[in-house]
Amino acid sequence: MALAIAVGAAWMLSAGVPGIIAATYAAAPKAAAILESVASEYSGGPLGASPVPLGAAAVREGEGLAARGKTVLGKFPDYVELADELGARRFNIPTEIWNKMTPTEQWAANQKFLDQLIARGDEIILSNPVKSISEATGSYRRELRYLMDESFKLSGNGTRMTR
Amino acid sequence: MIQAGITPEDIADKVVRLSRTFRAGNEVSMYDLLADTGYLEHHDRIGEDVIRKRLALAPELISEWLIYSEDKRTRRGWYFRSSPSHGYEVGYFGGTDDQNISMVCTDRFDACAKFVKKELEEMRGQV
Repeated sequence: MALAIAVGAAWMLSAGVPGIIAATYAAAPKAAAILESVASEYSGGPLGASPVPLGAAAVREGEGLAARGKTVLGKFPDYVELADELGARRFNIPTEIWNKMTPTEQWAANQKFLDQLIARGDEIILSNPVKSISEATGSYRRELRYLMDESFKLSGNGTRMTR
Repeated sequence: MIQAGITPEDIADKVVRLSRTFRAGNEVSMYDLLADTGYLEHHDRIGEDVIRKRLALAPELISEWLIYSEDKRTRRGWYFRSSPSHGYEVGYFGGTDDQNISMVCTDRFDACAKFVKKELEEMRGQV
């Protein structure tokens, strides 16, 4: 159970828990409080404190906090599956928390994750290639649109977003 | 006992519209919307068969559930997607081969009803 929780929290470490929670507080205090309580449980204390052992996977992701890397975007579950294969970052939240977040809260957390991958300069890989943004649907389209507004464009074969 | 005047079909009618309702609003979680349907109290009377019948009356909702599924940003969970070679796939992504489940359905209503029921039951277990 503890390992499952730690692995589930790995996204928070890779995305930067304090940043996500701060962004979420602005949009949605309730979900941010949930996130913070979970994050505190996983890190063994207040945010920013030295973490207790979290499991190898979580620690490895945490160590790469500011390093440029790969991030996979796409449709569930394809993007998680591909990210696992590539050892890449991906945005995911424990299911029991996700289901209790409003759409506004979900997007606030997602947007923060996108901001951080942009800041790191990650290579952006698409699990569901598209030739144009109009082929994408739902949140995937919103993610691509957000990146385009940040001067990214689709690669020729639709498998990457590049600047 | 379902409240007088409310049938399983009434609850199923609300349940099959959850994905649309969730996407249309911005300030209510899926879990809170589900709680408002009465499903949590009467889950044992809202089976895949009832859900399927209500979906068949509003086939446009199938695409809403497909988007709801692809929009998940979770580590694990049930999914529902179209499969060019088989029709539709309902599965559970758990991250490892022994946790993953995949079922293929040629009928879109069967597939969607199965997904909706699995999804609701997973949420019910998260109380």
